[in-house]
Amino acid sequence: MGEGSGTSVAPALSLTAITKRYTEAPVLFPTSLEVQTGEFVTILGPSGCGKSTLLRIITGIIEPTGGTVRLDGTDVTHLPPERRDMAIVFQSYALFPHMSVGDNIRFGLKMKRIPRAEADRRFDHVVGICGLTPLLRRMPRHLSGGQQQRVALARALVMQPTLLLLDEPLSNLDAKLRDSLREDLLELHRETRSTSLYVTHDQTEAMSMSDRIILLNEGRVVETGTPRDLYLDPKMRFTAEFLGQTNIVPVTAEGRSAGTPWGQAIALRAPAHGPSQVSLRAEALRISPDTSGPATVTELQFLGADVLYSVDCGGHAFRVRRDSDAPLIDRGTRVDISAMGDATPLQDTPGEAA
Amino acid sequence: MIRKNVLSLLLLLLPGIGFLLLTFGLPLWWALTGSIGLGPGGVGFTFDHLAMIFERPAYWRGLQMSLYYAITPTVLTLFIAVPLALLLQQPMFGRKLLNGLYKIPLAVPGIIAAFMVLTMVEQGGFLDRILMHVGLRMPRIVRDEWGIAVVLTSIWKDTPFMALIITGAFGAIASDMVPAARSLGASRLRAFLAIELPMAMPGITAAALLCFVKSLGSFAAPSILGPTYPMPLPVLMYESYREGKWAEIYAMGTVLIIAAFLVLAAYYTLTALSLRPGRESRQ
Repeated sequence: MGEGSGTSVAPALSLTAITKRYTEAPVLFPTSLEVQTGEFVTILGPSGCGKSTLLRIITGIIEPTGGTVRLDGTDVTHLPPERRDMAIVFQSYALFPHMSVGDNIRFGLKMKRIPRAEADRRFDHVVGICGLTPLLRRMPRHLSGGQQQRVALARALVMQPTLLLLDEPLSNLDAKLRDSLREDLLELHRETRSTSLYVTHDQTEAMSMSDRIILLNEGRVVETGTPRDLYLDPKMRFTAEFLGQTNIVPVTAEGRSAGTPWGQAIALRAPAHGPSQVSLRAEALRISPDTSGPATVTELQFLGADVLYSVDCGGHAFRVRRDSDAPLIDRGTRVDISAMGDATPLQDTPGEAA
Repeated sequence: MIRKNVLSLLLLLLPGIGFLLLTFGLPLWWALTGSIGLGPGGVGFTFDHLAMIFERPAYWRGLQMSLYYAITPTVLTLFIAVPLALLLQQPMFGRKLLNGLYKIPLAVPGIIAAFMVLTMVEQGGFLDRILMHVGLRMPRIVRDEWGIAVVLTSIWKDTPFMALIITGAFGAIASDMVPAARSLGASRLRAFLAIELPMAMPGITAAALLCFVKSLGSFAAPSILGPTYPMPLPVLMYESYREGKWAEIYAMGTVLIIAAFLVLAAYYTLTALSLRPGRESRQ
């Protein structure tokens, strides 16, 4: 999981076999991960998967039951939060309500006793790139959600931390603002090259922003990879289903080839034998009207750029995406169905397999 | 049309405002007018009664004593109630029990509290008899010149009252605030001083004010446990009442009300100033 990067420099963050149990059931099974300097990594998972616990362990708000947290190669597992070189952007922003925007941003510089000249330089820079100059004297309660978000970000960035942690920073905002702030965040990341660990349950956010995604479920790392790899070539069933919409297709495998329910033989990227499952994205399936075809259109939804068809094939329901400029296929039409490209046989997630 | 609206608005406000005027405003008006010799049974407009409080030593010292009995326990209680409120936030063994136990003094009426303190700390009282076994004696703290037993009673009564309000004030601080401050480099102590304390300050000052006003009018403890001279104004008011001197009662009442209002006004001015946006920003 993220190991073997081949660099001799220690990763910005490295977790080794971190575990956490509160009373009986473990919240985190031994979890290891690394974030390289300059990387934007997302921990993605459904609520209750342990991602908040993991974040709190990294920041030092709670102590792990076992394992090691290293920052730039230094063991910080038992250091209090104030002695770890990281900054957090909270979901709630956690701006100090009794301080002006300017004082909120200066707070960390004062606490860490950054020399005046250096502090002023950093302050001016961050305020500039976050566009906060007109708001410096305002109190947090007089700011909109998006403005508060930018202040929280500036307050973290001004620390120039080894690691920037972002805990669902966009989830309290409405959809439109979220999109524009997502772009702002990416731009800031490119500009500051800050090593960032982003935590979210939103797969769209994770895929659009990250260099790498660490998918977490039930206290375990399910799979790690680039957004493209995880989306197009998931190794785990959980990954396939959590990222975007997909069809889990039952197949009969024979080495590098597998037979689909509609009788097509598709190539496998890894050998398998007997009954197996593959993930075929809705856009990887093709249908065309054919009176002797094996499938029937049961439902269609016009989505603008494309049309989402529900298709029944021998008792299995599949979803197929077609460009909307192609002629519509009516409900009840018999169709021929085929898959494009090859697929990887899916494994069940570690938690469920155990 | 507008006039009709104003009329209906006034009618709608009447039950609330009217009730306040009747039950609070009217007696206050009587006290104020009575203190300057107006109203029923008055001798005609005069500042003599009010002036008397500042001229006659018994009353002047009485006013000072009232302020002393109000300020001293309030300040001392703060030093107990704030740490207690913080302690009650911590997850620890027996927290629920402590949380229930510390509120017991709230349920004990002031006069009973005064007698409890009397039997405990008086010379010849409970503690005194225990100390005697080790050859020690209780110092004189009942009816002493510093009114120590009076102050102790107020502290005993006010601690849970203040702690209850202050616990609420600390509890209302969002749970991310301290982690946010600490991740920015603040130690546990600095996070408390720079973030938690200022954020809880409105609750703390409100609690202190309520205790101040409560102690300013306290009667039972000073009359049972306090020195016979000087007596605080509430006790003197009762004595004047027994002698039927209503003008003096009005005058003392008015002075006490003004003292309380001055403190309240100072409080609101200070909070209004501290909440003004941009106050703390530097260029």
